[in-house]
Amino acid sequence: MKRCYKIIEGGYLTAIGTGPGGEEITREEYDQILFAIRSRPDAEPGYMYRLKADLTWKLTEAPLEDPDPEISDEEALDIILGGDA
Amino acid sequence: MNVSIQSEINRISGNVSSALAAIAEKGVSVPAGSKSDALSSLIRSIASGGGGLPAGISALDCGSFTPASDSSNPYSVTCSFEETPNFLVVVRDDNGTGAVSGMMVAQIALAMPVATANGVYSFVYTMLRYNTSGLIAGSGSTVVGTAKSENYFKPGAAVINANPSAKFHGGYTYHWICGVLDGIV
Repeated sequence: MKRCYKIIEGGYLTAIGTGPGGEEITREEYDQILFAIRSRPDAEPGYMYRLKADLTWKLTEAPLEDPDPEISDEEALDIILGGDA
Repeated sequence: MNVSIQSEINRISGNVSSALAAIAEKGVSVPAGSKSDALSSLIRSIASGGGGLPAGISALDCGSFTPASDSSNPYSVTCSFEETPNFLVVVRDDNGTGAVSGMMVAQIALAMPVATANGVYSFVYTMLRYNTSGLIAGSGSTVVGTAKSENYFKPGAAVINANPSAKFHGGYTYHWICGVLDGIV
């Protein structure tokens, strides 16, 4: 059985997973959180639901997308091409 | 750094040819004239065992993550190999419903690349989506990268990071699947 974990940041449960990382949890708790995640309500545009540590959802404003990430042309090309030149 | 687009195209083209050759060495039937578009399905064949990886070498599910909400996520995973490998990394999404964007694929990177003896490493990585019924055919993308540093000649653990700016969908489960593609030189 692969190790299960959860990640809680600022009172919000941001993710669960298997393998290394996070705070170890039982498989039963993993399944319970996964069920909660997949039951997330739909949010209106500009808003998002975040999962609190007690597995209830809180409606918040969605973060603004950064319209102009500060990377150079060379860095952008490297990302697109997938390797160092 | 001055970069010629044509030289980069040539570099990627060579990498794709090398990857296809290595895949063929694994026993996968690679049709003549195959291009990068075919890499995902061919790699998938290896990862699923259909290509006949050598005994003792198999694709490893190195972990998974399921974001609660759509967000940027600095996820990473560690994979270990006892031999000097070339690298196959597949990020599998258990319940995605559509094609994977090129940007999402490009944002997966090896933090500690591995290399072949000549100091050139090749790795293939892709992001595939699965739903509860299985793989969604044709939903993957592949990028092949090559670097030229002998400092990277190391078998053993490799950390694979998702770029902190990568966007993952809440409620989807992404798997890190790592395998060995030796023979790419």
